[in-house]
Amino acid sequence: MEESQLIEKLKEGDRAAFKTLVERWESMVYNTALGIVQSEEDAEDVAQEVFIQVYESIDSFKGQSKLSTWIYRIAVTKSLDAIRKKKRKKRNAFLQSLYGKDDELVHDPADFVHPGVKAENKEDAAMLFKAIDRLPENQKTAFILNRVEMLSYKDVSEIMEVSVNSVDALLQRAKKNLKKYLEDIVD
Amino acid sequence: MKREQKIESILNSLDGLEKANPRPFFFTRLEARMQKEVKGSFVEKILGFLIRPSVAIAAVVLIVVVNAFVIISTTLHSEEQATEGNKIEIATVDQYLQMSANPFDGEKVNP
Repeated sequence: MEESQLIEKLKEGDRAAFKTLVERWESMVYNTALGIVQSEEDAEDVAQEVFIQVYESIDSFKGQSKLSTWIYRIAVTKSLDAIRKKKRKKRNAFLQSLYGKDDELVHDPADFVHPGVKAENKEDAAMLFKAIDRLPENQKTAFILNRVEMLSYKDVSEIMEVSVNSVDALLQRAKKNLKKYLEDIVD
Repeated sequence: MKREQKIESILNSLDGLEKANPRPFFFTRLEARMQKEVKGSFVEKILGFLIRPSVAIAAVVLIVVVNAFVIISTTLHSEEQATEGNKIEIATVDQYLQMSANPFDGEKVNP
Protein backbone atom coordinates (compact mmCIF):
# COMPACT_ATOMS: atom_id res chain seq x y z
CA MET A 1 0.00 0.00 0.00
CA GLU A 2 1.32 3.47 -0.94
CA GLU A 3 2.10 5.83 1.95
CA SER A 4 -0.48 8.44 0.87
CA GLN A 5 -3.15 5.75 0.52
CA LEU A 6 -2.20 4.33 3.92
CA ILE A 7 -2.51 7.77 5.55
CA GLU A 8 -5.89 8.32 3.90
CA LYS A 9 -7.17 4.96 5.16
CA LEU A 10 -5.78 5.64 8.63
CA LYS A 11 -7.63 8.95 8.75
CA GLU A 12 -10.83 7.02 7.97
CA GLY A 13 -10.09 4.81 11.01
CA ASP A 14 -9.43 1.71 8.91
CA ARG A 15 -8.24 -1.14 11.18
CA ALA A 16 -6.44 -3.03 8.40
CA ALA A 17 -4.48 0.12 7.51
CA PHE A 18 -3.49 0.57 11.15
CA LYS A 19 -2.34 -3.04 11.30
CA THR A 20 -0.26 -2.51 8.15
CA LEU A 21 1.30 0.62 9.67
CA VAL A 22 2.16 -1.18 12.93
CA GLU A 23 3.65 -4.18 11.16
CA ARG A 24 5.68 -1.95 8.85
CA TRP A 25 7.18 0.19 11.61
CA GLU A 26 7.04 -1.81 14.85
CA SER A 27 10.66 -2.91 14.55
CA MET A 28 11.99 0.60 13.92
CA VAL A 29 9.94 2.08 16.78
CA TYR A 30 10.87 -0.71 19.19
CA ASN A 31 14.57 -0.62 18.28
CA THR A 32 14.75 3.16 18.74
CA ALA A 33 12.91 3.01 22.05
CA LEU A 34 15.08 0.14 23.24
CA GLY A 35 18.27 2.07 22.48
CA ILE A 36 17.04 5.05 24.50
CA VAL A 37 15.22 3.44 27.45
CA GLN A 38 17.57 0.43 27.66
CA SER A 39 14.92 -2.00 28.92
CA GLU A 40 12.95 -4.46 26.80
CA GLU A 41 9.86 -4.11 28.99
CA ASP A 42 9.89 -0.31 28.85
CA ALA A 43 10.64 -0.34 25.11
CA GLU A 44 7.53 -2.47 24.48
CA ASP A 45 5.49 -0.07 26.58
CA VAL A 46 6.86 2.97 24.73
CA ALA A 47 6.32 1.32 21.33
CA GLN A 48 2.66 0.71 22.21
CA GLU A 49 2.27 4.33 23.34
CA VAL A 50 3.83 5.53 20.09
CA PHE A 51 1.31 3.65 17.94
CA ILE A 52 -1.60 4.74 20.13
CA GLN A 53 -0.49 8.35 19.62
CA VAL A 54 -0.10 7.77 15.87
CA TYR A 55 -3.63 6.33 15.73
CA GLU A 56 -5.09 9.20 17.77
CA SER A 57 -3.30 12.07 16.04
CA ILE A 58 -3.05 10.91 12.44
CA ASP A 59 -5.49 13.73 11.54
CA SER A 60 -2.85 16.26 12.59
CA PHE A 61 -0.28 14.72 10.23
CA LYS A 62 -0.10 17.18 7.35
CA GLY A 63 2.43 15.31 5.26
CA GLN A 64 5.15 17.97 5.63
CA SER A 65 7.61 15.20 6.43
CA LYS A 66 7.74 11.49 5.65
CA LEU A 67 5.41 9.36 7.76
CA SER A 68 8.43 7.45 9.10
CA THR A 69 10.10 10.72 10.20
CA TRP A 70 6.94 11.71 12.06
CA ILE A 71 6.75 8.30 13.75
CA TYR A 72 10.46 8.48 14.69
CA ARG A 73 9.86 11.89 16.31
CA ILE A 74 7.01 10.47 18.40
CA ALA A 75 9.17 7.46 19.33
CA VAL A 76 12.06 9.67 20.47
CA THR A 77 9.77 12.00 22.46
CA LYS A 78 7.97 9.10 24.16
CA SER A 79 11.25 7.34 24.96
CA LEU A 80 12.77 10.45 26.52
CA ASP A 81 9.52 11.00 28.48
CA ALA A 82 9.74 7.43 29.78
CA ILE A 83 13.33 7.99 30.99
CA ARG A 84 12.37 11.25 32.74
CA LYS A 85 9.40 9.51 34.38
CA LYS A 86 11.61 6.67 35.59
CA LYS A 87 14.22 9.08 36.97
CA ARG A 88 11.49 11.05 38.76
CA LYS A 89 10.15 7.82 40.27
CA LYS A 90 13.64 6.84 41.39
CA ARG A 91 14.16 10.29 42.97
CA ASN A 92 10.83 10.07 44.80
CA ALA A 93 11.63 6.56 46.03
CA PHE A 94 14.97 7.85 47.33
CA LEU A 95 13.27 10.77 49.12
CA GLN A 96 10.67 8.43 50.59
CA SER A 97 13.40 6.07 51.80
CA LEU A 98 14.93 9.02 53.67
CA TYR A 99 11.63 9.37 55.55
CA GLY A 100 11.41 5.61 56.10
CA LYS A 101 8.66 5.03 53.52
CA ASP A 102 10.13 2.43 51.22
CA ASP A 103 7.02 0.51 50.23
CA GLU A 104 7.82 0.83 46.53
CA LEU A 105 11.43 0.20 45.68
CA VAL A 106 12.78 1.20 42.29
CA HIS A 107 15.71 -1.02 41.46
CA ASP A 108 18.52 -0.14 39.14
CA PRO A 109 18.23 -2.47 36.16
CA ALA A 110 21.01 -4.94 35.52
CA ASP A 111 23.52 -4.03 32.79
CA PHE A 112 21.61 -3.61 29.58
CA VAL A 113 22.77 -5.53 26.54
CA HIS A 114 21.04 -4.83 23.24
CA PRO A 115 19.80 -8.19 21.85
CA GLY A 116 21.24 -7.37 18.43
CA VAL A 117 24.84 -7.04 19.66
CA LYS A 118 27.29 -9.68 18.45
CA ALA A 119 28.09 -12.29 21.10
CA GLU A 120 31.79 -11.34 21.26
CA ASN A 121 30.90 -7.65 21.82
CA LYS A 122 28.32 -8.09 24.58
CA GLU A 123 30.59 -7.12 27.47
CA ASP A 124 31.90 -4.01 25.73
CA ALA A 125 28.42 -3.04 24.53
CA ALA A 126 27.09 -3.22 28.09
CA MET A 127 29.72 -0.68 29.15
CA LEU A 128 28.97 1.49 26.14
CA PHE A 129 25.22 1.57 26.91
CA LYS A 130 26.01 2.51 30.51
CA ALA A 131 28.01 5.45 29.16
CA ILE A 132 25.30 6.34 26.58
CA ASP A 133 22.81 6.58 29.45
CA ARG A 134 24.87 9.45 30.90
CA LEU A 135 24.76 11.55 27.71
CA PRO A 136 22.61 14.68 27.47
CA GLU A 137 19.26 13.97 25.74
CA ASN A 138 20.05 15.49 22.32
CA GLN A 139 23.47 13.79 22.09
CA LYS A 140 21.92 10.49 23.18
CA THR A 141 19.14 10.82 20.57
CA ALA A 142 21.57 11.58 17.75
CA PHE A 143 23.88 8.72 18.78
CA ILE A 144 21.08 6.13 19.05
CA LEU A 145 19.49 7.13 15.75
CA ASN A 146 22.85 7.02 13.98
CA ARG A 147 24.58 4.05 15.65
CA VAL A 148 21.69 1.83 16.80
CA GLU A 149 19.04 2.65 14.21
CA MET A 150 21.75 3.12 11.53
CA LEU A 151 20.19 6.27 10.10
CA SER A 152 22.11 8.72 7.93
CA TYR A 153 23.02 12.21 9.20
CA LYS A 154 20.32 13.60 6.88
CA ASP A 155 17.61 11.35 8.32
CA VAL A 156 18.72 12.14 11.88
CA SER A 157 18.66 15.88 11.08
CA GLU A 158 15.08 15.59 9.74
CA ILE A 159 13.89 13.67 12.80
CA MET A 160 15.59 16.04 15.24
CA GLU A 161 14.64 19.10 13.14
CA VAL A 162 18.20 20.46 13.13
CA SER A 163 20.78 20.93 10.37
CA VAL A 164 23.10 18.16 9.21
CA ASN A 165 26.04 20.17 10.64
CA SER A 166 24.33 20.24 14.02
CA VAL A 167 23.93 16.45 13.92
CA ASP A 168 27.63 16.14 13.11
CA ALA A 169 28.50 18.42 16.04
CA LEU A 170 26.17 16.48 18.39
CA LEU A 171 27.77 13.18 17.41
CA GLN A 172 31.29 14.57 17.85
CA ARG A 173 30.40 15.82 21.33
CA ALA A 174 28.67 12.51 22.14
CA LYS A 175 31.81 10.53 21.21
CA LYS A 176 34.00 12.88 23.23
CA ASN A 177 31.74 12.51 26.27
CA LEU A 178 31.51 8.75 25.87
CA LYS A 179 35.32 8.51 25.84
CA LYS A 180 35.43 10.61 29.00
CA TYR A 181 32.83 8.44 30.79
CA LEU A 182 34.54 5.24 29.63
CA GLU A 183 37.88 6.44 31.00
CA ASP A 184 36.21 6.45 34.43
CA ILE A 185 34.96 2.88 33.99
CA VAL A 186 37.90 1.21 32.24
CA ASP A 187 40.82 0.32 34.51
CA MET B 1 45.30 -4.53 26.03
CA LYS B 2 46.10 -0.88 26.33
CA ARG B 3 43.49 1.38 27.93
CA GLU B 4 43.06 3.46 24.78
CA GLN B 5 42.54 0.35 22.70
CA LYS B 6 39.97 -0.97 25.17
CA ILE B 7 37.99 2.28 25.01
CA GLU B 8 38.17 2.21 21.23
CA SER B 9 36.95 -1.40 21.26
CA ILE B 10 34.01 -0.43 23.51
CA LEU B 11 33.11 2.47 21.22
CA ASN B 12 33.10 0.12 18.24
CA SER B 13 31.12 -2.61 20.02
CA LEU B 14 27.95 -1.68 18.13
CA ASP B 15 29.49 -2.52 14.77
CA GLY B 16 27.44 -5.18 13.04
CA LEU B 17 24.51 -4.57 15.39
CA GLU B 18 21.27 -6.22 14.30
CA LYS B 19 17.94 -4.51 14.83
CA ALA B 20 15.87 -5.68 17.78
CA ASN B 21 12.26 -6.72 17.23
CA PRO B 22 9.39 -6.73 19.70
CA ARG B 23 8.04 -10.08 20.89
CA PRO B 24 5.62 -11.82 18.49
CA PHE B 25 1.96 -10.72 18.42
CA PHE B 26 2.84 -7.09 19.15
CA PHE B 27 -0.26 -5.87 17.29
CA THR B 28 -2.56 -8.15 19.31
CA ARG B 29 -1.16 -6.77 22.58
CA LEU B 30 -1.42 -3.22 21.25
CA GLU B 31 -5.06 -3.70 20.25
CA ALA B 32 -5.89 -5.22 23.66
CA ARG B 33 -4.33 -2.21 25.39
CA MET B 34 -6.22 0.22 23.17
CA GLN B 35 -9.54 -1.48 23.92
CA LYS B 36 -8.75 -1.48 27.64
CA GLU B 37 -7.89 2.22 27.53
CA VAL B 38 -11.11 3.06 25.66
CA LYS B 39 -13.18 1.26 28.35
CA GLY B 40 -11.09 2.85 31.08
CA SER B 41 -11.47 6.29 29.60
CA PHE B 42 -15.28 5.87 29.41
CA VAL B 43 -15.47 5.09 33.15
CA GLU B 44 -12.94 7.86 33.84
CA LYS B 45 -15.10 10.31 31.85
CA ILE B 46 -18.19 9.42 33.88
CA LEU B 47 -16.30 9.66 37.17
CA GLY B 48 -14.65 12.86 36.03
CA PHE B 49 -18.09 14.31 35.22
CA LEU B 50 -19.54 13.25 38.57
CA ILE B 51 -16.73 14.74 40.65
CA ARG B 52 -16.90 18.12 38.93
CA PRO B 53 -17.66 20.75 41.65
CA SER B 54 -20.68 22.12 39.76
CA VAL B 55 -22.16 18.64 39.29
CA ALA B 56 -21.41 17.63 42.88
CA ILE B 57 -22.97 20.83 44.29
CA ALA B 58 -26.03 20.45 42.03
CA ALA B 59 -26.42 16.83 43.20
CA VAL B 60 -26.22 17.88 46.88
CA VAL B 61 -28.76 20.69 46.31
CA LEU B 62 -31.08 18.25 44.52
CA ILE B 63 -30.83 15.75 47.38
CA VAL B 64 -31.55 18.50 49.96
CA VAL B 65 -34.55 19.78 47.94
CA VAL B 66 -35.98 16.27 47.48
CA ASN B 67 -35.51 15.55 51.18
CA ALA B 68 -37.13 18.85 52.19
CA PHE B 69 -40.05 18.18 49.84
CA VAL B 70 -40.57 14.70 51.27
CA ILE B 71 -40.38 15.97 54.87
CA ILE B 72 -42.74 18.91 54.24
CA SER B 73 -45.28 16.83 52.32
CA THR B 74 -45.20 14.12 54.99
CA THR B 75 -45.75 16.71 57.73
CA LEU B 76 -48.64 18.36 55.84
CA HIS B 77 -50.21 15.01 55.13
CA SER B 78 -50.06 13.93 58.75
CA GLU B 79 -51.50 17.31 59.83
CA GLU B 80 -54.35 16.86 57.38
CA GLN B 81 -54.92 13.39 58.69
CA ALA B 82 -54.92 14.74 62.21
CA THR B 83 -57.48 17.45 61.31
CA GLU B 84 -59.64 14.89 59.55
CA GLY B 85 -59.35 12.63 62.58
CA ASN B 86 -60.37 15.48 64.87
CA LYS B 87 -63.42 16.22 62.70
CA ILE B 88 -64.46 12.60 62.86
CA GLU B 89 -63.90 12.60 66.59
CA ILE B 90 -65.98 15.79 67.06
CA ALA B 91 -68.71 14.41 64.86
CA THR B 92 -68.76 11.20 66.86
CA VAL B 93 -68.87 13.12 70.13
CA ASP B 94 -71.73 15.34 68.80
CA GLN B 95 -73.64 12.27 67.71
CA TYR B 96 -73.12 10.70 71.10
CA LEU B 97 -74.24 13.85 72.89
CA GLN B 98 -77.34 14.07 70.75
CA MET B 99 -78.13 10.50 71.49
CA SER B 100 -77.45 11.02 75.18
CA ALA B 101 -79.79 14.06 75.33
CA ASN B 102 -82.85 11.96 74.31
CA PRO B 103 -82.06 8.50 75.54
CA PHE B 104 -85.63 7.32 75.06
CA ASP B 105 -86.35 9.01 71.73
CA GLY B 106 -86.74 5.69 70.12
CA GLU B 107 -88.93 4.36 72.93
CA LYS B 108 -91.49 7.15 73.45
CA VAL B 109 -94.23 5.94 75.70
CA ASN B 110 -97.62 7.53 75.36
CA PRO B 111 -99.31 8.22 78.67
